[in-house]
Amino acid sequence: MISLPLIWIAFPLITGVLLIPFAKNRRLSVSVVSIISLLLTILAIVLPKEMAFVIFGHRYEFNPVFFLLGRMLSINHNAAVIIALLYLVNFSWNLISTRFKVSQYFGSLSLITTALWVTVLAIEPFLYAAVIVAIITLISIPLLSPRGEANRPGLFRYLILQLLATSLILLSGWMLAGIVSAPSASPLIFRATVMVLLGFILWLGVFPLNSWLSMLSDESHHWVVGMLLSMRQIALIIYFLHFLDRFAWLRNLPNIFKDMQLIGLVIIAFGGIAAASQKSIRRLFGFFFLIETGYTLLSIGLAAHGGLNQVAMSFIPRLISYWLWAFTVASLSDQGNLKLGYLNELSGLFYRAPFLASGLFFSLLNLLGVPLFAFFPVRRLVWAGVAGSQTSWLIFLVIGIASMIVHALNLLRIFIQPESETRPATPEAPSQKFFIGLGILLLIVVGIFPHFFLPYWTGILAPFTNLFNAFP
Amino acid sequence: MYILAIFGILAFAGVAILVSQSLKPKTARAWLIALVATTLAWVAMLFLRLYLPTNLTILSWEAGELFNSKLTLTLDYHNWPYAISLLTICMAAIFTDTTQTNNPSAPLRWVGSITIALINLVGLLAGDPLTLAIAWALVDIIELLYMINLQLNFENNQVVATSFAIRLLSLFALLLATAVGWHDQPGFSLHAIPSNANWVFLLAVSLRLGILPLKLPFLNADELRQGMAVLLRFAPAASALALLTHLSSIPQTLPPVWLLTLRVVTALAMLYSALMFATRPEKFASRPYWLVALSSFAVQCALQGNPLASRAWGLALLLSGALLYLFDPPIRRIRFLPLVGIVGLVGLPYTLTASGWEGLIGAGFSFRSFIFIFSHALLLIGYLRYALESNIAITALEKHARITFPTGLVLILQTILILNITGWPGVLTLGLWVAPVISLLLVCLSVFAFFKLGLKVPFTNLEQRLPFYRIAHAVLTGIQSFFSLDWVYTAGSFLGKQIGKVTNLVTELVEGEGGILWSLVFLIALTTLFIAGVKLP
Repeated sequence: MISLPLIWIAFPLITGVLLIPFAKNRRLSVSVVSIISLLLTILAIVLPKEMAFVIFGHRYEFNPVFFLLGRMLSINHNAAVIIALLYLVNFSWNLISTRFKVSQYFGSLSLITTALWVTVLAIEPFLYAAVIVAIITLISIPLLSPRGEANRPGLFRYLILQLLATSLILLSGWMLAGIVSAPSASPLIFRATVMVLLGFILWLGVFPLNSWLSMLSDESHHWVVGMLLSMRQIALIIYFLHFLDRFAWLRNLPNIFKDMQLIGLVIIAFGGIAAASQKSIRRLFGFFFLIETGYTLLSIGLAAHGGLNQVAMSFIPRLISYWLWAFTVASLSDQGNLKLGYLNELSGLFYRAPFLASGLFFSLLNLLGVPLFAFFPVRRLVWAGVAGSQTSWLIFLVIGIASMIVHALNLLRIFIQPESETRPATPEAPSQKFFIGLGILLLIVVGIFPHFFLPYWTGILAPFTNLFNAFP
Repeated sequence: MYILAIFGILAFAGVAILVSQSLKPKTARAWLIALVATTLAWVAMLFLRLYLPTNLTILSWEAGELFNSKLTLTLDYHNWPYAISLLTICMAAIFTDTTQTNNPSAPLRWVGSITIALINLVGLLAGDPLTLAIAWALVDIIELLYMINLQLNFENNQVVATSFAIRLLSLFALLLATAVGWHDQPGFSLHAIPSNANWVFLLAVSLRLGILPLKLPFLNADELRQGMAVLLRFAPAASALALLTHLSSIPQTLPPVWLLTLRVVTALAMLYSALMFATRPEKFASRPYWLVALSSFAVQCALQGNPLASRAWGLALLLSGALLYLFDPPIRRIRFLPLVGIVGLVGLPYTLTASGWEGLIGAGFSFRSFIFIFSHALLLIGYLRYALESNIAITALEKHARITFPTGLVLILQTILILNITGWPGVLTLGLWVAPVISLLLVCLSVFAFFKLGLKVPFTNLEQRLPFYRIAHAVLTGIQSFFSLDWVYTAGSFLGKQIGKVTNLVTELVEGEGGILWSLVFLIALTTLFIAGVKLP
């Protein structure tokens, strides 16, 4: 019997550590990480429900549980989809990471980080996951601020707020021990709720504690920020759903889902306005992350209208956009087209580097939810959910979307601005064109055939039976 | 399946031209392929008139209970006249483009024309909001990429960006309308739009047609005067006009004050655009006003509760408009062709637009009716003026172009006549004959006054000939600057900048030295609002 936690946690963790001494040989390190990530993704996708393979007449069974220091790591078939997604993220970011001027430890540390995120979702009692999240935060520091580069305030703020969140979640766990026997109106419930929600607000950078997001994306390499934040968002959303699933007192709080809708909508509106008034392209990723967190909270709030499925189906369209945006901004930075990161530095980009410009623009249109692109089939369900739930709240969505349209208009104006002085065309490597073209193609194909690509990922929600039963 | 055959023919022709041009470029072959394909598509569409209504599901987004949506196409009396008009304009554009065959990019323009017709046809035949939204997005993105590819100057590029943003707004208005409609009736088709969503659909249509904002960003670059450009401008309007025919319950669902406001605003937009159309210095500068003026006629029909009557004005916009603007170069010897095209606009009994008057005037004459009639008269005057101003005596046209160019224009005339007879049941009607007669009388009076003043086309020396010219010019300029709504944009831009400044201030505060403390202050303030249960709308 092979233990599944050993396959998806211990093996990549050990491989990542072993690769650290070979960090200077980036090609080797990245190739090994990419292959392992791909294999682990495929294994997670093909893992049968009975958790056993029959190969050449031999039956190989998997043990879903592994005990370590008195704690249990549990990975069953239900968790396979989220594991596949996390390793898919790692694969897609590692595959072409040698193109970018990122830390030499990118390959090894990204594999370790992925394994730790899987641990976050597998550990029992699940409150211990908060400690793992703190470890992930610490491990990400060498990636965000490679050796030789000055540390900047965003990084410190990220570190402080993330560790603060960890302590809040752990503190809530201590309070939870008393809640089991407490009456429903106990002040303990209120305090624990505040702790849990504040912890997640800090972890996910929810408005108004979002400052570290834009600062970090401005200061650090976009390819690294893209990967770390993408994984963080996926894993923490699922972890938050764990809380809602496990604790009836939390999901039964009066108006909790309605309030989540409202918080999500406020974030979408604020994020849109903030993005529209930005002059730095590097900082934009932080605001996109914020808006996406807003949409996720909104969808969770719309659980009674099928919002949970929308949360799960959003992951892939969002990832494609994040990937495409991170790829193009990182390419522009590394090629010296973004010295200060101002949008004005990209004037006439559509004529100088049409693929890079298209990558940025179509990625933005996808995040906006424009029909034809991958996000549209999911977004329209969310919009319809808001209209069905509280029509007057649509005004927040209208503000958010209109602001993003203004931002798209600004970006387009800059991209197609004929330049007063002729600048040399930005060289676009064939491989660059290929990957951007592939990203755009994926956005369109998923947008036209969402019924082929998106329903699979609703398997992520399989473990949350209590939550689903609350909204039949 | 016949619908798919039409799409297949057009798509095949586009690919065939591209392949043949890349292998062995030959303009004549490319033109022939384009012509045969569009003719076949046109004939097939004409044939489909016998099978109305026709429905077709092109894609089913069914995955358990997750999506459960279908992308459908529907061909019926609402959109068939527009579909045949769109194919006619495409065919006419290819015919009339023969005056430009010495240009090596001509075959690519024909591929462009076919592609535009194809994707707009999808939007036109959309049976549900989902298909319509996807088609609109596709049209907008392709148009944007085409415009960017033209590498226009700074000013025109700014217009390209603005017009794309307005298109995006119209697209999101459509999505908002769909979301609101789903609240009452999930998965509705365009034939059964829930009444509560009617006004949001109207907003989407108005944005797309350029009535809102009134100043439609419009390019006047030289590159955009050829056949394809006419199609590029007129085709997106067609799908919006087809959607308008489904909005039957606006007067019942809008509060009376709002309804009255919309009627007045649309009437003013109509009058202003018609005035501007008739007074532009040259024909191509009048194109946006033509679109807005006739779109306002169509929207007015929906506001009066008779959206089906909007078809008449919509078809006049497309067909008479295409006839006027495809007449380039404006050859003096054949200027009778666009003049005949006025039959598609005049609205006399038993002509194509005769049924349109019922949508505008309906129950009886009122003050607004006179605004409609006056606007109509201005459109007729402008149309006559631009047609009569054609004074080029081209002798250098190639032999084939001497036949194909007028043939393209005749094709449009022929479609006007076909639709006049078979467009929809009841198209051949007496209509409210008094209105067009008054309009024509006004036109005759104007022509008489012009003769009396000794004015002749082209109007070059108006300053000397027209009495009170300077006062009239000043008044017109004042009206223009008011209705161009530049002041609204300036105010909007100022407001946007202030909001941006506030946002940046908040961002600077939370990212500054005491940022975390400020964030906590904001958090506590927001939490207090939540806990206090402050009521939101």
